[in-house]
Amino acid sequence: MTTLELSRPEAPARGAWRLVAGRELRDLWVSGRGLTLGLVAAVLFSAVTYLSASEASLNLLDAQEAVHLLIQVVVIIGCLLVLVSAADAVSGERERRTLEPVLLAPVSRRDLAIGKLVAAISLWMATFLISIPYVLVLADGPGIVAEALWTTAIVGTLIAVGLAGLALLISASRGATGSAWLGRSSSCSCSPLRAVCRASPRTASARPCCTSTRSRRG
Amino acid sequence: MATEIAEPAAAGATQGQNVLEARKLTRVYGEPLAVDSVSFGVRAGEVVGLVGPNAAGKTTIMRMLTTMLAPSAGGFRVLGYGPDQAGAIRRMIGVFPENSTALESQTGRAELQYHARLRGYSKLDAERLAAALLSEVNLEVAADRRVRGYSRGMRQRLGIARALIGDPAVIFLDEPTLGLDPAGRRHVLDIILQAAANRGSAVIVSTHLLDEVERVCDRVLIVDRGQLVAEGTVDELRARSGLPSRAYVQVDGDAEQAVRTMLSLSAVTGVEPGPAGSGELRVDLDDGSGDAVPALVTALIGADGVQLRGFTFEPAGLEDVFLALTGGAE
Repeated sequence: MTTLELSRPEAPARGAWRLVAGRELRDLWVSGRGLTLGLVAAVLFSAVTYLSASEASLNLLDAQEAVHLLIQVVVIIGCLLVLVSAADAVSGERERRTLEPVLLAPVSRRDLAIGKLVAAISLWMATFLISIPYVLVLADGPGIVAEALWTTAIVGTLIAVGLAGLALLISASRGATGSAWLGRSSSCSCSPLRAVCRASPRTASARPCCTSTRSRRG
Repeated sequence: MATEIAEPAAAGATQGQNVLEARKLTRVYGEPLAVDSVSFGVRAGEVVGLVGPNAAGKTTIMRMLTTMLAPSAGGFRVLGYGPDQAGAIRRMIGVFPENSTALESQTGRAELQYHARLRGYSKLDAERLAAALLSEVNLEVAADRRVRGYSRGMRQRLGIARALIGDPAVIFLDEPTLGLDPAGRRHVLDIILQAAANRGSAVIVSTHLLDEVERVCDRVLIVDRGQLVAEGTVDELRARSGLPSRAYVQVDGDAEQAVRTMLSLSAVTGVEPGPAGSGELRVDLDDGSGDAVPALVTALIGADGVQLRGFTFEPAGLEDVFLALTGGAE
């Protein structure tokens, strides 16, 4: 038996969402899942950009319309990835039986939700970064590069955050562990989750209940 | 491994003091009730087995006590904290949920460090704690391998190490040896005994493997159809079941006198020759716990012309006791 003389933490980790986000980000990106999704997005953007550029050169599609089409595809693909990742953050973990140990940690549900949201939204950020060269190619002609990038960033981020919160909420509200996620959140102040947080269970009075022990067998 | 750090409330929990008290704990899913008015207490340093047939309500009780499920009625306290103080309770307990595992993409060491950090340990302390716990559950060699390469036994041990983070006052283990080979089971049971003995933690083990209960548990709670049908030490439950037990006696000298002496005792219901060639006498006793054994041995030692050469007591099997107390429920 090793004896450790550690200073006991006075309280659970402050800003635990950073720890949760770090773990989720590592799982998403180090495992290769995020990179694979990013690669798929890049292939799609390449196809859309090539087709749009070809159509534009044939004067079948206005150059600005081609940029708008690309922006729409970027936002849709990015938000779809965020949606899937956020939904998987709870229900996927529950199916893989990795969720319950995290829910049993003395960390607020808000920190867990924020950490998972950050990881899910990182997929949108990656999608946006991947889309930049494609936007530059198409938007350089009509001279709307800055406008296109700003539009993509703002619209995509708003939709991604909203969808991620919604997906997390729906994912968390399903199943037995979902009730554990939502049913105990007296400390939960994350806006979408708070709306459905149930009342805390009743407090019980205690009753001692003693019986004798016996010696342990080997 | 034991960390010399005490939770404010846990520090007040000394050996023999109730650290967990459940009172009329009830959970409704429909009819019949999943858990129906279950009350019991668990003391510091005690290993308590929660046993029962399938769907008896064991896991539901565990989930309520670990704040994963709100009781429909009644309640419980862990070191004075009620279910409305889930955060405080989670700091006091360590839990190994049934079949739980860790993220496949991370290493065993990273898993323990992560949970230690969530409990508020500094990065350095979390590293030291993880190393000590990995050593305690004999996973040092695999500490830096990804969990996806772990065997079932290794995953179980990692889960138990996670439950030991922070020297919890109460440790809940739900089927900790499920699917393990005999060596793995023995190792896990040793870890459970050490956790109770070295840390002074109360350990609640939910299992359906009765030999494990007999080996490690100080006390047993038998749950059936959501109700607590029996509570006590294994010997107390044997006595309560009313099942008979047997003893095998080897005597030299006057065998007939030995038989007469034994039959004169009220607890002895019959004496028969033992297995052929063994020279033993098989003695049937009317209680399963062996309370009559001292009187039987004393009588044989004091009998004229009888020399007691050997004595073997075979108590009522815990499986039979369990079936008797639960009415043979499946």
